[in-house]
Amino acid sequence: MAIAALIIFIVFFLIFAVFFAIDYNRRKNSNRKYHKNEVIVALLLLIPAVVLAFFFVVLPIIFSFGYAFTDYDLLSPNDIKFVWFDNFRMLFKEFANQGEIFLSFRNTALFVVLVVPLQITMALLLALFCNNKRRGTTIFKVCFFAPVAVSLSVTAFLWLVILSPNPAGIMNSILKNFGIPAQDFLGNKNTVILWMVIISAWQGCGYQMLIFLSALGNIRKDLYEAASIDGAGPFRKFFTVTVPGLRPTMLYILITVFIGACRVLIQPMLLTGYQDRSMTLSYYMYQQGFTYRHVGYSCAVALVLTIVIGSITFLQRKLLGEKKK
Amino acid sequence: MKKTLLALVMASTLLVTACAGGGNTSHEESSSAPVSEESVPTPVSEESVPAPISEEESVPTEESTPTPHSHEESVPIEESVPAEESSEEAPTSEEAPISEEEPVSEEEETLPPEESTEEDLPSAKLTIRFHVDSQSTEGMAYKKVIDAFNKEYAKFKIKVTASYVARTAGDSAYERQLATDMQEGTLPDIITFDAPNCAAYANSGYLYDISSSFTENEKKAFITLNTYQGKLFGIPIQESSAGFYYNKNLFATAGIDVSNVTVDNPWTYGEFKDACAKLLAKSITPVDMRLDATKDETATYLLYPFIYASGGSFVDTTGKTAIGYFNSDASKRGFQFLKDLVKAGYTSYGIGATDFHTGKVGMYLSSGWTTPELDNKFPTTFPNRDSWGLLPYPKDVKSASANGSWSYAIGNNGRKDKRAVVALLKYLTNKDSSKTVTDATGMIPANKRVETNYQANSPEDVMLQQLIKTSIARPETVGYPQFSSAFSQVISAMRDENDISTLVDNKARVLQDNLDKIKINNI
Repeated sequence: MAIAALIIFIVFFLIFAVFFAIDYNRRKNSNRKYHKNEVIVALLLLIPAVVLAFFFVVLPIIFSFGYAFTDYDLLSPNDIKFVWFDNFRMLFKEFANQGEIFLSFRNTALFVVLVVPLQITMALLLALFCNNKRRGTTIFKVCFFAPVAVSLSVTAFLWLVILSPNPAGIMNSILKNFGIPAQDFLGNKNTVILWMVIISAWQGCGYQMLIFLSALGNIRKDLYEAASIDGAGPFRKFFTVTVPGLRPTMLYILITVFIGACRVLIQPMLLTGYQDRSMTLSYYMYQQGFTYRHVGYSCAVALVLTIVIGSITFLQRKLLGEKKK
Repeated sequence: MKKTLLALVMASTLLVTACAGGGNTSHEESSSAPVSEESVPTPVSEESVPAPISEEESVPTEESTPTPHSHEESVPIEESVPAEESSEEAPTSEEAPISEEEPVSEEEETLPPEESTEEDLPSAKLTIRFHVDSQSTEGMAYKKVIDAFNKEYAKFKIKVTASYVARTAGDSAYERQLATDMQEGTLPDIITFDAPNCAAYANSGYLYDISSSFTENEKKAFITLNTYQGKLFGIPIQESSAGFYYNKNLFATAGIDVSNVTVDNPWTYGEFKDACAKLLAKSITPVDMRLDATKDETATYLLYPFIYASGGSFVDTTGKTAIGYFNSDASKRGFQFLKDLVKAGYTSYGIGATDFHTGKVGMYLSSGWTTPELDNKFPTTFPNRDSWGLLPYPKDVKSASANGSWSYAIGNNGRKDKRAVVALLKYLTNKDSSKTVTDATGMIPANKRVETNYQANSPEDVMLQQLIKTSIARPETVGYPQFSSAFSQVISAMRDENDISTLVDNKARVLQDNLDKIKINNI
C-alpha cells in the first residue's frame, strides 16, 4: 500500500511538473516573464497544498477507483482480489430486481427533484427580503444564516423532537388544536421524504441566500433606474433586471445545490436509520461499505454515482451555462 | 521550447517506469498520465502477496495447538479456583455446575506442582484491547483484573499491557482499529468483540481457534460460548438478557395476575395478548415493544426471540442462505404476532422514551440496563421493587429469549506460543475476574461459577434463568450486520404494511442479495 501510494504520488507530482513546464514555457514566449526566484517561491508555497490535496483528495479517489474492481472486504485488508466487473454486474442486477439500490435511487431522485427548486426559491426570496437598506435587516440575515452554522446532526435531533410520533410531541400537539390526529411524520413512507426536503431546505438555504445577496449587490443600480423610467413595475424589474443579473450565480447555486442534494446522507441516517422509505444512494454506499463491510462493492457504487452526478452536472452547464461571446 | 518539453515528458516516463519496476515487476503500462489510474490494481496485487506469508506464519501457530494439555495443566490460578468453589458452589442450586465440579476437582488432583508450570509458561509481553473507555466503570474493572493478573504472573515474567478503544454507535472505531491492526500485523493478543460479530471476525481470520485450549468442563462453566462452524472462538465476559418490565400497580388495576408466570411457565402468545387487552380496557397503553428502536441494534436484539419462539429462524447453518429461513412460514408467524400487537393498538411506534418509567405504560421490553434506572431514577412511580417486576419472554411453540454481549477472543496474530495468552484468557474469564467486572457493570456473569444470590423471581433471577434455560443466540452468520438491518427494516416497515408475508419475502430477498456479496473463507 505504501509503495503504491508512493508510485501514485510520484506520478501525480510529475503530471503536476509537466503542466507547470507547459505553463512556464508558454509564459516565456509571452511578454510577462517569470523571474527564477519567483518560480521557486511559487513552487515552495504550492507544496503544502499539493501534498495535502494529494493525500486527502487524489489518493482516495484513485484508490476507490481501483477498489471498485476488487472484492475488498473491510475486515480482510490483506486479501483483496481483482474481480473485474463483478461489482458492477451485481449493482445493475440489484437495480433491475428493485433491490435496495433501486429504492435508494428512487428516494434520492425524489429528494433532489423536490429540494433543489425549494431550496433555491427559498434562498432567493430570503435574499430579496434582506436586500434593502432598511434598519434591522442584519438581524434577519443572522437568523436566516443561523441553521447553516449549526451542525446537521444537531438540527436533525431538534427536528426529531419536533416531529416525534408521540401524541405529546411538539408538532402533534399543534395539530391536535386543529383536530388532526397524531401523525408519524418520519415513519410514514409517504411523508418522510417530504420532511427530509423541508429540513434540508430550511437548513441549507441560508448559505445560498448569502451568495444571492452578494450577487444582488453587484447588479448595477442604474439598470433599475432605467427600468423605472421606462415605467416597469417591481415584477417587471425583477424579471428583466434581477433575473438576468443573477444568471451566472444561479447556475453556480443550481450545480452546488444539486450535487449537495445527490449526496444527502446525514438526514436519513439520523432521522430514520437505514430504512426502505428513506435510504439514499450515499446512505446505501455507506451502509454497504462500512456496516456490511463490502468496500469493493461500495466503491463501485461510488464510481457509478460519480459518473451519474458528473454527467448531469455537465448537462446542466451545457444547457444553462452562459453562452460564449 | 518544444525540445525541453519533450525532454521533460520523457524524463517523467522514464522515472515512472523506474519506480514502477522497483515497486513490482508485473507493471508495464507506464507510458503517460493514465498510469495513475492503471496502476491502481498494483496495490491490490502487491497486498495480496504478503497475505500467503502471514497465512504461512499462522500455520505453525495452529501446529502448536496440539500441545494444549501441557498448558491446561500449566495454569495454576484457574485450576486452583475451583478448589474453593466446590464448597461454595452448592447453594446456587443449578444442576450443571454441581455435576461439573467433580471432574474439575479430579483434574485438579492431577495438577503438577508449580515448578513444572514455570517451565511451561514462557515469559511474554502480551497486549489486550478493550472496547470501552479506560475511565468508564467497566474500563476500571478491566484495569483491576489486568493489574491482578500482572501481579500474579510476575513470577513467570508475563506482562500484559491493555489498550482501550471505545466502541461507538454505528460505524465502529473499534472495528476499524481491528482492521488496521490486521493490515499492519499488530493485532493484540486478546481482543474483545460483540458476540454477533464472531462469525465475521472468525471468517476473516481475526480469531484464534480455542476449541482445544479449553476442556469440556471448563466450557461448561459458561452460559454461552461464541462458536462458528463448530469451533470455539470466544468466551463471553458477561451476559445480557431481556424481558418485560411491568408496572405492578397498573397490573393490579387491570386485574392481571402474574404470580404463576415464571421462566419455566411463561405466558403464551395468546395469554400475552389477553393481558394487553385487559390493560387497554383500562385505557392504559399495554406494552412498549421498542419498535421505534430500529436505528441501531436495540430493536433487533430485543425482538429476535419472538421469531425463534414461533419456530422460525433466519439463516441456514452456513449463514449464507436467508431465503426459506428468514421468510419461512414459522418466521412469518413470529413477525405477524408483532404486527398483531400494533394492529390491535397494544403497542405503537410513538411511545415516549420514559412513558413506562412515569407510569403510562403497562409493560416495557428492555434489557438489564433498565433495572438500575427503575431502582434509582423514578421514585414517584417506582419507589421500590414492590412496584415493578420482570416477566420472561412469552412463548409460542417454544420458549426463546435474548442473549449475547461482548466476549474475549485470542487475536490470531503472529505469536506462535499461545500458552501465556491462553493462561491470560482463562484468568480473565475465571470466577474472580468475572465477578470483578460484573460487579462494576451490573450485568449477569457469563461464568456460572460466580456466586449470584439473586432473590427468586427478582429481575436478575428471571434473566439468569432465561439465559440458562431459554436463551438462543442471534444468528451465527458472517453477514450479521446485513441480517440485523433486514430485521429492523421489517420491524420499521410493518407500521404501514398490512401484508406481512410479502414484506418478509421482499426483505429476505434483499438480505440474500447482501449475503451473496460476502466472501466466505475456509477457516
